[in-house]
Amino acid sequence: MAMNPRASLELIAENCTSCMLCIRACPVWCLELDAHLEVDESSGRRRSSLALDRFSIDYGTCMMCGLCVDICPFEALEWSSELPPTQFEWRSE
Amino acid sequence: MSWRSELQALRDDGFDVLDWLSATEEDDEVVVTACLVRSEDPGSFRLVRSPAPVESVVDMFPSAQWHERETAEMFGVTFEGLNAAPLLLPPDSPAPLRKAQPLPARLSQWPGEVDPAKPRRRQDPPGTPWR
Ligand code: SF4
Ligand code: SF4
Repeated sequence: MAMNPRASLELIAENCTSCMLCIRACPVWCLELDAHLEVDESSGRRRSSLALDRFSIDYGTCMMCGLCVDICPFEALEWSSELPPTQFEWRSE
Repeated sequence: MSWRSELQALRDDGFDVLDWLSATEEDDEVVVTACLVRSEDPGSFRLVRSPAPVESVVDMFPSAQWHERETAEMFGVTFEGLNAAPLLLPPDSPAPLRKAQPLPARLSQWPGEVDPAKPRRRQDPPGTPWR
């Protein structure tokens, strides 16, 4: 059987900076994420960055338009040939 | 030239088929657009545009009736001389294609409203002027 290379979306969570671009680009509002600010002062200077807690994709609503893949500046969303679940959810441990 | 005379002139010029008619909301006015096609050369067409309200052209192009009735109820505009009996919507329903009309699917919370980096600043989704 021929595989559809665009069967679902793959989140590469370690690349995601929680920048919200994909969440805001999605025309059908089917992406969601939660993140929290992490402050690191170990180097003597205060550095803060966002840490992703949760990322969800509602495939019941997603229309596979690919805008989220195109807009992500960090290559954290990619096309995948895996068949999608109804609801995808990623949570940090 | 008025809407009617413009369409009449094109019809006299051989653009004898009303292919399509609808409207768009642009800034503060609703603009009605019609597309006329030459039946002898279906590839050639002309667009005519005019701010609403305009006169009905059903006597000139009977096929305009469906489009004018649909445009009248969807955009809440009048076509002078048209019997605009409701076509698809229940009587007295608001014109659903006007930008001020809330889209039910967009009344829920937008997942992009809060940026975790700036949680105090909230943003409205694009294309929802009723918020
Ligand atoms: S593919 Fe399109 S509809 Fe699906 S999550 Fe991405 S932007 Fe939204
Ligand atoms: S656009 Fe990319 S980096 Fe930004 S939140 Fe979405 S997946 Fe993460």
